[in-house]
Amino acid sequence: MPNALRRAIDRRRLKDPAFAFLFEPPPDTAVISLDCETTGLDRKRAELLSIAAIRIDGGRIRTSERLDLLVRPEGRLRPDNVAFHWLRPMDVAAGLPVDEALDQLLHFIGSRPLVGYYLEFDVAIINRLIGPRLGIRLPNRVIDVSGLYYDLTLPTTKDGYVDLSFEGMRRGLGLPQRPRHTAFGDALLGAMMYVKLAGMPKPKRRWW
Amino acid sequence: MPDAFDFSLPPFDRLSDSEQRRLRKALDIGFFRSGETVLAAGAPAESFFVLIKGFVEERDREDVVAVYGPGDMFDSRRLIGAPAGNAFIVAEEALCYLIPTDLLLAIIRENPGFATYFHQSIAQKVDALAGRRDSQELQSLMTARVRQAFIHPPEFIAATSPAYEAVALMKARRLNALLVRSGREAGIVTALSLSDAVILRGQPTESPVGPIATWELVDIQANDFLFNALVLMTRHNLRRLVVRDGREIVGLLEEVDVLSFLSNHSHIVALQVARAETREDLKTASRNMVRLVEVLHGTGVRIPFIAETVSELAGRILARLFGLIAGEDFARNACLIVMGSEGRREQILKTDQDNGLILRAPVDPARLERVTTEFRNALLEFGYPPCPGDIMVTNPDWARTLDDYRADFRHWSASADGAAVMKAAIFADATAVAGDPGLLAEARTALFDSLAGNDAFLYRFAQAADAFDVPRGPLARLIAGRAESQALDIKKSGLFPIVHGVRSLALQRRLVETNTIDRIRRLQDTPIFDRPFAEDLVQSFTVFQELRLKTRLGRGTAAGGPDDAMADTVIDPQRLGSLEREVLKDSLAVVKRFRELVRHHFRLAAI
Repeated sequence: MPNALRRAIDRRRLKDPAFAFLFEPPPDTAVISLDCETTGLDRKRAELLSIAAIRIDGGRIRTSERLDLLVRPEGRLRPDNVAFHWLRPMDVAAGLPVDEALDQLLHFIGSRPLVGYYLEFDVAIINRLIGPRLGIRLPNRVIDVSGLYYDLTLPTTKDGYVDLSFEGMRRGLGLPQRPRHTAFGDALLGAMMYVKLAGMPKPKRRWW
Repeated sequence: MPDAFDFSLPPFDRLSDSEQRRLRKALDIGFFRSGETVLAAGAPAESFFVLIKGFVEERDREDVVAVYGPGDMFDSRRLIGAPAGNAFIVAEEALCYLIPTDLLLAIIRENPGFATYFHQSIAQKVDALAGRRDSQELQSLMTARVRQAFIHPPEFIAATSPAYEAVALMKARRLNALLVRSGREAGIVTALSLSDAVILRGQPTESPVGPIATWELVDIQANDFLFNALVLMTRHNLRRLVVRDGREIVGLLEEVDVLSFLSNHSHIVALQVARAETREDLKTASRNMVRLVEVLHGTGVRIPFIAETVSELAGRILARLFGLIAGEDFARNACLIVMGSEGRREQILKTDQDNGLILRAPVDPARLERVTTEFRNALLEFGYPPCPGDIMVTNPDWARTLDDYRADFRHWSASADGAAVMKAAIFADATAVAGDPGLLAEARTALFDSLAGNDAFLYRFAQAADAFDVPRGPLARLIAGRAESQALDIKKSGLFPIVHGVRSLALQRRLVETNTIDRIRRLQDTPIFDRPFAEDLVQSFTVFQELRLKTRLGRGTAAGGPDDAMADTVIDPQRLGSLEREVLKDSLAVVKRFRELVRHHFRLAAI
């Protein structure tokens, strides 16, 4: 379904007029880097544990204007997943109720484009959680850094193989190594990848 | 990410926890492409930049005056309200933290310790770099600490071990003594006490070392004066002391090492020179000088003082040698001069033979040749290489009568060509080391007189300061410590422009001083430049000299080659710490300002 059509339908389905701003044209040229930590990788069941969003204005990553929220999951944390997201039950106990966290997120991102790494998954989780209450999916444009990276890197490879792991991309782009496994850390790395990739000329040969 | 901002990076390590929190919250991250302007010339800065990755060049119009690399920050000058002059342009894709200027200024106002970093003038930064190197007197050598001498690491053996094992260990480790451990007690066993026990008293080689060892240790703290160590050894008639740091034993101090340390003192070298009866004695003294430089530098004595001490000693060696070769009557009617860095008393290690003779009256050519040849050969033997430009007493151009020199000066002034300028520059630094110094004083006055008012000559003379341009691009990047970059030639980019610019001004103003720092001090009271600038110039000059010495000592060429060899003045960026780099950047900026000043001064004079 074309995006415009989907947006038009969703706009009519919106249950809460307070969120009409999501369908307005973006208020500025900023984009938002987004990352969520979840309890697992199953889009039907995974719950949000933390959300981080950072505003990007051109080449400037506004870490001073960021959203970095812990979410209290509805169910119980499965111990086997703690190793994956590094959040213990006691860490998320102080988190916000999921609806409140998502409201803050929606107000922070507005209708601006979203940037991230395999953002499709994060957006799917958010859509599942806001759907029953608001009747919509996130209407924002989604820019995946792995897609940008692939397009720019493919012409420079010999065998058509592009390392699209987050770490592989970080190395490929020559970005600093930073502590990860937090929503904020990954959102920041995603933002760095985006500013580096955005507007980069299409390469003829290796460019890093 | 801001959570990972490196607060151990000076000056941020001086921030309190709450200040760190405020700063962390306000941080942004900027990404700039190659060639992008981070700060335009004259533009105010909303942010203070701390580089995470990449390189940024600071440019004054077209010239690169500094390059910033990872961990470096800019622009402190804008921050403290200095005129926002230079542009900052990305040399290689840069990722940096942006600290809001307002916030940083607020913290600077609240935290004086943090503020000083930004307010430090070059002079103060140099002091921070030099750390404890503020003691300028020779006194610092007399107050050398035990820890500065060679301390043998402690080697322990159990009290129950057999004597033969102790001997084997000593042999393996080339030691004369071992420490003996028995529970918490420590004793010492020496080669002498072992041989006493086994050979003289006939004890079996299997007997334990415990009863043979001495359990009353005479010890000294590592922090104590070396002088006291010598006193203790003499009083107890010992060859070694146990060195402790607090209660812990850190090693053994041998008498021979104390003596060799002390024997490198400059006055001991001076004494050797004064007592020298033969050329061989002088040669030994000359050799000890190189070791002296290393010791002086290692003890933290500042460069100008080292240069002065070494020049003084080298002068004495030359004077003594000249006296031995030429004989009294010859020396009375001649003046031996040294030129170049030796004449300026800035030589740190041995230099080329840059020397000449001023004769009162013509002397028998055969005798002159015998004296000068012997003198040159003796110096060669001492390790002073011949001057590549042949500025030596053996060259008749540099061993002539006062009247001949007078004629030369007139000729130089009239022709004002490249050779004349070079010769004038060489002679301008002449210092008398032996014979009658009055001859040099007369010659100097004659040189000043013949150049007085010859603005065209002085203009050409000063122009030579621009002989080497400070290259941009790859060279400048090196300052930022980039591995693949080319090297920075300290002499071309730093020392020479200062030395020659100052020399030009000194020549014009008829200054009799030859030392660059002395000349700057004399010039600071003239309209040419003010005191703060003189201070910056002296400090920059010292920085370059220090870097050069460090590089040369680091390469182990101290004992070898000439001081003026270009190859030895190239610095290795990998060895520079970020504070050193910062100081180097500032010093290069001072050189640049000075070159402009000299250019301006003489251009005006020539019109």
